[in-house]
Amino acid sequence: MQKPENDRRDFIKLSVLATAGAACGSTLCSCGDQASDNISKKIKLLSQDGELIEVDNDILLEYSGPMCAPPKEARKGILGRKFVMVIDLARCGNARKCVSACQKMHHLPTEKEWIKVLKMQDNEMSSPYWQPTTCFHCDHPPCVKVCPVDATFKRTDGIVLIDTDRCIGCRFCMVACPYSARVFDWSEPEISPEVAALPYSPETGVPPKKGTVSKCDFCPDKLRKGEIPYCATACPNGVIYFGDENEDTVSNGEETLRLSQLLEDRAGYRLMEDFGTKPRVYYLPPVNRAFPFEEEETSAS
Amino acid sequence: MKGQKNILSSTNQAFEALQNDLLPRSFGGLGKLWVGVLLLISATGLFFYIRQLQDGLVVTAMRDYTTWGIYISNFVFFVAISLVGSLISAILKLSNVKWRTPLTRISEMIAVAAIVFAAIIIVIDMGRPDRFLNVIFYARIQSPITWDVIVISTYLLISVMLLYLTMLPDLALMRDKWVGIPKWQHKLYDILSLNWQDTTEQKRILAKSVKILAIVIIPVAFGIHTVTSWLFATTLRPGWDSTNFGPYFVSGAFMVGSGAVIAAMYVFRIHYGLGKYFTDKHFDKMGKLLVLLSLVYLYFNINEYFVPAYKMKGFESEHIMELFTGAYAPMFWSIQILGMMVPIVVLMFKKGRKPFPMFLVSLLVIVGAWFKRFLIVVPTLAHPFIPIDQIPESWKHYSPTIAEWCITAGTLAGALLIVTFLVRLFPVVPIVETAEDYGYLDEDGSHSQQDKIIEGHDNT
Amino acid sequence: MTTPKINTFNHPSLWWVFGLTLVLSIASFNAFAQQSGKKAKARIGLQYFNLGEQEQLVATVKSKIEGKYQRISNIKVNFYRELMAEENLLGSTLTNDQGNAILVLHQNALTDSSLLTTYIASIENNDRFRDKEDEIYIKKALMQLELEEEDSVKWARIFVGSPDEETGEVLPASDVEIRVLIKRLLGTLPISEDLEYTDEEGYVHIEFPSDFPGDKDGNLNLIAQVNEHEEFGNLEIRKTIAWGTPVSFDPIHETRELWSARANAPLSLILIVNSILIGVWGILIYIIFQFSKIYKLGKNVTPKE
Repeated sequence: MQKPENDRRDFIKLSVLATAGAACGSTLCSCGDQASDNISKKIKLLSQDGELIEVDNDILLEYSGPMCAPPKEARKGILGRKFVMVIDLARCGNARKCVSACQKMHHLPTEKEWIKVLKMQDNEMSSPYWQPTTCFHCDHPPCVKVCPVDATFKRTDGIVLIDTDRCIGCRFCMVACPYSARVFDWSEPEISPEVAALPYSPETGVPPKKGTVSKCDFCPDKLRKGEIPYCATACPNGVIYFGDENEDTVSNGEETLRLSQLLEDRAGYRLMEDFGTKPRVYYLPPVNRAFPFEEEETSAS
Repeated sequence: MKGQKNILSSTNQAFEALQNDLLPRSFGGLGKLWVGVLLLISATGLFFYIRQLQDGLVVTAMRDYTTWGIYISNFVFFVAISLVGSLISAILKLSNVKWRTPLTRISEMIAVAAIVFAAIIIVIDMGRPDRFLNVIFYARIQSPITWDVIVISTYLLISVMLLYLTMLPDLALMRDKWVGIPKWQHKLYDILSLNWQDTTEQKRILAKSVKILAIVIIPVAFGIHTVTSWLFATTLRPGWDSTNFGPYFVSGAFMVGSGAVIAAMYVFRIHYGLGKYFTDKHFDKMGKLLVLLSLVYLYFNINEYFVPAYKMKGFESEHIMELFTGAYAPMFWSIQILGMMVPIVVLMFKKGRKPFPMFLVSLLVIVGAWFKRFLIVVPTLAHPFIPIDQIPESWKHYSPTIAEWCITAGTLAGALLIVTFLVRLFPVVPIVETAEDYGYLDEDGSHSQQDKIIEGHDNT
Repeated sequence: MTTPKINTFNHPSLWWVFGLTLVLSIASFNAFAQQSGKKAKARIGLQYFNLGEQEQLVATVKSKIEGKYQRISNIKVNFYRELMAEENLLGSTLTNDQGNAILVLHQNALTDSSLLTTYIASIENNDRFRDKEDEIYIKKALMQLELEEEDSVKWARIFVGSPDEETGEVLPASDVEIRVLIKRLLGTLPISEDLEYTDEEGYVHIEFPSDFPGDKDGNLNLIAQVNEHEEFGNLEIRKTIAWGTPVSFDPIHETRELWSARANAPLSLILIVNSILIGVWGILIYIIFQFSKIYKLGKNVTPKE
C-alpha cells in the first residue's frame, strides 16, 4: 500500500502526463517527429480539481496510458461537474458500436456488457425500439445505499464507481439495482499481461478482478481529457449525448446542445421515475425515428 | 476418583436413573455411520468449496441476473432454523410453560449449529472471502448487511451463552460424578463448569443471568430474521418490495424451527430411548404449537401473495404468475400444500400429534421451508425490471450446479455434525433441571447424594 | 484597424527540417520504386485555421478500409506554401489518432506580400499510400469580437475584414457566416441555432442570452468562428466574460444520506444502531462478568468429595 501523500503526488504527475499524452492526439496540438518549430507550445489540460492548467508540450510524449486517479482520489470526483447522459432513442438503429467500443476500451469479454442495447416494447400496440442501457449513475443510488464496505460510492460529479480493491463480492448492489446495470467477475478475468500491468483505478475498472462487481463508469478517464465517453464517440448515429449539467450542455461529439432545451423540446424522460432513484441518464422518446425497427442490425452508416 | 467405577451408593434411585438416561453416550454403530456419512458430505462440500475458491463463483449457476442462488436461500433457511432457540428457551420460559424443559437444550443446540452455518454460508457466497474483514474495517452502517453482521454475531453469542449457562449445573454434575470418561473430557467439564458448586449464590446469579438472556434474545431473534428479510425487502424488486416481509420471515422461522426441534426430539426419542423425556405429551404440545405457528405463517403467506395477486401490478404480476402458473408453479404449490396445508390439517387431529406422524410432518415442514426460501430468493431475480437480453442462454435460467448442491449439502451436514457432537459431549436433555422439575432433588436444590459416582455410558 | 505584421521566412529550425526531409525523401525513393504497384489510395483534406494569435494548417488523411473511409494515423504529411518545392516546405508532421496532421504556422512564416497564399499538404513517398495532395487558397482575414452591454441587453459584435491587396487597408467582408459558441468541457455550445451573416459593414450583432450557466463567477469562454469560408478558411477568436449565471457548487457536497460514504451516514442511523449495540452488548458483557462471579464464588467452596 502506498502512503496517501505519495498517492496524491503520483496521481498529479500521472494525470499531467496522461492528460498531456492524450492531448497529443487532439487537434489543438502538433507533435510530429520533425516539427521542431513547435516545441515550446503549451497545452491546456483539465486537472483533478476541474481547472484548466497549462502544461509544456515537451513532457507529452512520455506517457500514453489511460488517465485515471488512484483509488483514494477517485472517490472525490471532478470538482464542479455534474455529468449527465442523454440517449436519443429515435436515432438508435442497434448498430451496437457503443457496446463494442465500451468492451474494447474497458477490456471486457463479449458476454460482459456495461452498456446493453435492449429491445423494448412499452405495450402491445406500440412499436418496439432499441434502448441503449448504461449504469444510470442515480443521484439516490440504491446500490450505494446497500454496500456494506464503501466499495461502491457516489462522487461529487454524479458518477457512481466501484473500488474493486475494496469489494467483497456480496452482490447486494447487483440485487439492489433495479436497472440490472451491474455485472460480476464470476471467474478470473482473461486479460493480456499489458492490461494486467496497468495501474488500477476505480475510474477505469482496469485491470478487472475475480469475485468483484463492475459496471459502466461514464469513462472518467475520457472526461478528464475533456472528451465524451467511448460509447458516445463510437455511435455512428449520434445517439448518445454526454455533458455537464452545471454547464447545461451535452454533446454527442458532432452537435453540442443545451441540456434543458433538449429535454424540454424532445420530452426527455428517465427510466422508472417512481423508484425515486433520480437517474443521471435521460432518454428522448423513440418518435420520428431515423430507422424502422428491425430485429437484425439495421444501420451503422 | 480416577479409575473408580461402579461405586453406587444411591440415596435417590430416580435421579440416578435419570442420569443414566441422559448422560451423553458414545456413538454406536448407527451413530458412527451417521457421523461418517455427515463427514463425507461435509468433506465433499469442502472439496467443492476449495474449487470454488480457486475458480471463483463461476462454479455455481449464479450469473449476472440470478446473482443470488441457493447459498442465500440456504442462509435464510439457517437463520430461520436458529430462531427456535429463542422460541423454546426464551418465549416459553418467560410464559412459564413447564413442559418445555426437556426441549430447551436441543433447541439451543440446533440454534447454535444453525447460526454458525448461517455465518459460514454467507462467507461461502462471497466473491472475495479473503476480504471478509472489510465488513468490519470499512463497515457502512447504512447497509442492511452490516446490520445483519452485527445482529448475527450478537445472536450467536447470546445463543452460545444461553446454551452454556443453562448447562452449568449439568457440567458440574458430569465433572463430579461421572467416571470412566477420558481425561480430556473430564478436563473439559472441569474447565467449562466454572467452579460450579451449587451454592445458593451461584444459583441466584445463574437464574438471574438466564432470565436476562431470555429477555434479550427475543428482540435479537426478531431482529436477526427481520434484518435478514430486509436484505430483500429494502430493494425495489418485485416479490421482495414488501412491508410484510419481516413478520412473514419471523413467523416462517418459528414454524420451521419448531419442525426441526420435533424432528430432533423424535430421533433422540427413538435412538436413545428417551421416551420418558420426549413424551407423547411433549409431541402433542409441540404439535399444537406448530399448528399455531403454521396458521400464523399461513396468514402472512396469504398477505404476501393475495394482495399483489389481487392488484396484479406490472412487474409484480409477472412474478406472481410465474409462481402461480409458470415455471415455479409445481414447486410453489407443493410447498404451500405439503409444507403448510398438510401439516396444519394433520396436526389438527389428536392422532396426527403422535410422535411418528409428527416426525413425518416436521420433515415436510423442514423440506418445504428450505424450498420456500429458494422460491423467495430466485424467481424474483430471474424477473428484473429491465429485460434480460444479449447474454448467453444458460445465464437466463438458474438451476444450481453440482458444486453448489454439494457445498449446500455440506453446510447442512456440517450443522447436523455440530448438533451430533454437542449431543455426544453434553446432555441432550438438561439433567439437573429435569430432576428439579421431577422433584428428585432436595428443597434447596442441591444433590442429596453427595458421594455418588455414576458409571460412564461409554459402551452404549 | 491594423494589418497583421508579416515577417520574412527566417526560422532556423526550418532549415533543419528541410535537410532531414531531403534525406528522408531520397531514402524512401527506392522503397517507393519497389512497391508502387501495391499502394492504397488515400484522401487528404487541408484546412486553414486562424486562431487569432496562432495559425494552423490541419491535414486530414483518410483511406478506404473494408469499404469505409477511415482516418489514418501515423502518416507523414508535408506542408508547402505556394509551390510543392523543397524550398517552400513549411514543415512535416505525422497524423495523430484522429488522422489529423497539424502544423502550427508562426507569424513569421508568412511573407508580407502574400495576402493571398496557397497552402499545399501532401503525402509523398509513403510506403502504404500513393502520393496525394490537397491545396487551398487563403486570403488573409481579420476577425474582431466586441462584447458590450447596452441597457441590460448583452451584445456580441463581430467584425470580419480583409486587408486590401494594394493599400493594405482592412476592408469589411460581408455575407460571412459567423457562429458564436461557448466553450464547454465536452464541446462548444452555439448560443443560438440561427445562422448569422456579416452585413455590408462587415459586422454581425448578436444578442446574447443571459441564462447560460457560467463558472462560479459567471465567466463564459466565448468563441466567435468563421467556418470553412471559401476565401478566409477558418477564423476563430476567443474571449472570456462574466455574462453567464454563476453556478455555485458546494465543493464538499457530502451530505448525510443513506447513499453517502460511511463517514457521512445519517446521524439518526448512527445513533439508533449504536445505542442498540451498546445496550445489548452492555448486557452481554454484564452477563460475561457474571460468569467470573460464579467462578470466584465456586473457588471459595471446598469441593464436596
